[in-house]
Amino acid sequence: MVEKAQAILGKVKFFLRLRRALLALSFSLFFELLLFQILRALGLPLFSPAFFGAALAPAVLASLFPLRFSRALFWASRRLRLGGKLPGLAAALSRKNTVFLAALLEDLLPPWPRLFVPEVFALLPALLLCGLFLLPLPSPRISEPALPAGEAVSVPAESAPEEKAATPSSARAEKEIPRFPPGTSSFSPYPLLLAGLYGEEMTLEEALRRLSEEEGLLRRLAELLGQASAEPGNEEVAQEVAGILSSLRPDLGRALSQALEPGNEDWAEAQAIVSAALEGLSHLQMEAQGAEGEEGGEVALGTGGQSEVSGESREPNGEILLDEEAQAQMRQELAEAQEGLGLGAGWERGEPVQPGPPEKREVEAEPRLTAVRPGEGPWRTGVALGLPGENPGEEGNFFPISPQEVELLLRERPIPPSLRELVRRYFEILSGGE
Amino acid sequence: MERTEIDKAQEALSKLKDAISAVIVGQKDVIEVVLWALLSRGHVLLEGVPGLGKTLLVRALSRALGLSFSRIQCTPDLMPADILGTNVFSEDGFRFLPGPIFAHVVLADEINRATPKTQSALLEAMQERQATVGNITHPLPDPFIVLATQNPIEMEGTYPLPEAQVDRFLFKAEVRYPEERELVEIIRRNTEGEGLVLPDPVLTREDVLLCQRVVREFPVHEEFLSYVAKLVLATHPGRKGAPPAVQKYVLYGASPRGGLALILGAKARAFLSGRFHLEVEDIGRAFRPALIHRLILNFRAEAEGVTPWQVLEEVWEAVPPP
Repeated sequence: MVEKAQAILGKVKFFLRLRRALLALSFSLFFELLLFQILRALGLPLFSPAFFGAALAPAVLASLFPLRFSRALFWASRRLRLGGKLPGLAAALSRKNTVFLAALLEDLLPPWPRLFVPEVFALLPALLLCGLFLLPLPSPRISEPALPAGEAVSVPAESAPEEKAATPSSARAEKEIPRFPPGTSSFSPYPLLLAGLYGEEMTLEEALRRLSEEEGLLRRLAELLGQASAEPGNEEVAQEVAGILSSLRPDLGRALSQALEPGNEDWAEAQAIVSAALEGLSHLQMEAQGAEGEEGGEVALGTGGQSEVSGESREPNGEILLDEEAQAQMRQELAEAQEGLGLGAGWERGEPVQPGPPEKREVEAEPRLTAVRPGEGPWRTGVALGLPGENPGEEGNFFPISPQEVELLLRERPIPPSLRELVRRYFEILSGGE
Repeated sequence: MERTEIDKAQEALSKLKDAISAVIVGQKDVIEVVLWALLSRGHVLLEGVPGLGKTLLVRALSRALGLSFSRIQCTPDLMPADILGTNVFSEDGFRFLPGPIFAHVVLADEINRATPKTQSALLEAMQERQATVGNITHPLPDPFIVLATQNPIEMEGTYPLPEAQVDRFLFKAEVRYPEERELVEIIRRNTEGEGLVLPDPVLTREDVLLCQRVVREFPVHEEFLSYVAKLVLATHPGRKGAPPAVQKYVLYGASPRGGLALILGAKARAFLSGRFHLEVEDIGRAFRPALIHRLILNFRAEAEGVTPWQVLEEVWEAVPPP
């Protein structure tokens, strides 16, 4: 009985200390969050788990601080809605009055959680706030404006220690977000494109190796097809063609197998497919090599800067892209020509407008664009139709084309149906869309 | 002491309350204070106008307790020997003839009409629980409780009790006038049937002594004792921390007996409530009957019509509970 009474009073003491610690923790967390906000507002972020861990120190101190137990016992008894039972128990225990102890212990079931209820409510918002602030902060790289190309390409090598210091979660978040602000030359879509082409992720070197292999196979296939179309029924050629088809990537192999179905061979279509594939491959190979060279030169460019490109730039595939200055000049010439005629383009001279109240007519409002997508707006005039390549390392000369133009391009070019989706995806990636 | 004894004592007290309540209409507070005094081995000063049932209460109490009862009607010509008893000469020589004080329950009716000399003899017996006649000291019966009444309005031909003697009463119960509903019930009971019937004994002397022992052993936490001491000290005008009303209107504060009365009254109340621990409310309920007759107010208070209870209310507010 005495032991039971001592145990209950011991629990009271323990829970009172715990409650103190919780109170101290909630207050210190609150003030730390306040300080955190102030520091952040001042541009001095002090975000560190250790910063919030410091809140534990007051809690430990508070729990160890001397407790005036006899007084606290009354408070605890009231909080537990036990009236004066706990002080009575302590008094009976101190006098070793077992009769009263037994009577008091008979129905003494302290509802301990009551000791903490308001404190827990006080602590919860602080913890919630703390939890919110502990979430990974967005990487400043995302919100930064596009850097000049030279600075941008230097980031991966220069910022390695800084990235190591970042929290793992923020580093992961950063990895997930593609780091290719529009207009910078550090972005190369070819790894993505090649990954889409082969259905698996691979290094650039691996992709180049496979491209070279496939190019050889395709050239040999083109020769064989020429022979086969000249002398149909040549078994040797047919066997070699079948062997090559099995070595090609599945979609291309399937398309060619369909065209060369035994008994219903369409040599012309097969040759067209092969030549289209060769053309596409040579283009991809060339661009991939360019991208590889660019990646390899990132560090050097970062340190040495990048040469300015002005006027028109000739793409590797021979297409011409105009820069802003050239476009402006074109527009000016057009405007001058219209002014000289006294007419806008497509207009005829008519009756002068009579003065008077304006005629009220219902006209359809022009759609007001709230967002300009790549390939739209004034830049569109600078887009040359055709299969655009990427302008490696030149900021401002990159004009993604609209999906409609992609469709037009697909219609004009003899691109095999199996590759059409891939090309669409390619331009989607280029334009930054999903 | 065994747990069964405590249970028995509580049961007996419950019966006693019921028995007295069956006779006395209303006056629950007065009955409660009288029972506190009985359990605390103290005495009660009942103050109230005549006809409020003070005497009936005491008679009902003594009957229900199964104890001896005597009544002293105090008058100016009442002598100490009339209360204490006297030595009379008989064939066997001088022998002591005990007075009415030698009873378990003594009703000193209109005590303020007795002369100071007689009052002094009575109060000495109350305090010492013995009476000295000649050279011989005679112990009074145990339990012994004096219930004295006084009329607060008829002061002519009276001898107000000196403060030192008022202090001997553990509690002062103010008998209030009954409410209409209670008055109707009083009239009905006294005018119908056989009239008023006193209760049968529900306790024995041993039961009463047991109850008194339980209250004595009732455990009280030190913080409660400290709280009561602060309350008593706060009634002293010279004390630091005494409320302004005390500083202004009190001539003399409560004596240490006030503290005893507070604790004993609180313990008795807790026990009567069936509890084995004190609460602040117990002290609060005992505060007025324990201290109201122990404050001596100054002339300024009298002039301004300030009552002791008004001052005590400020004292209660000024001292924070544990």
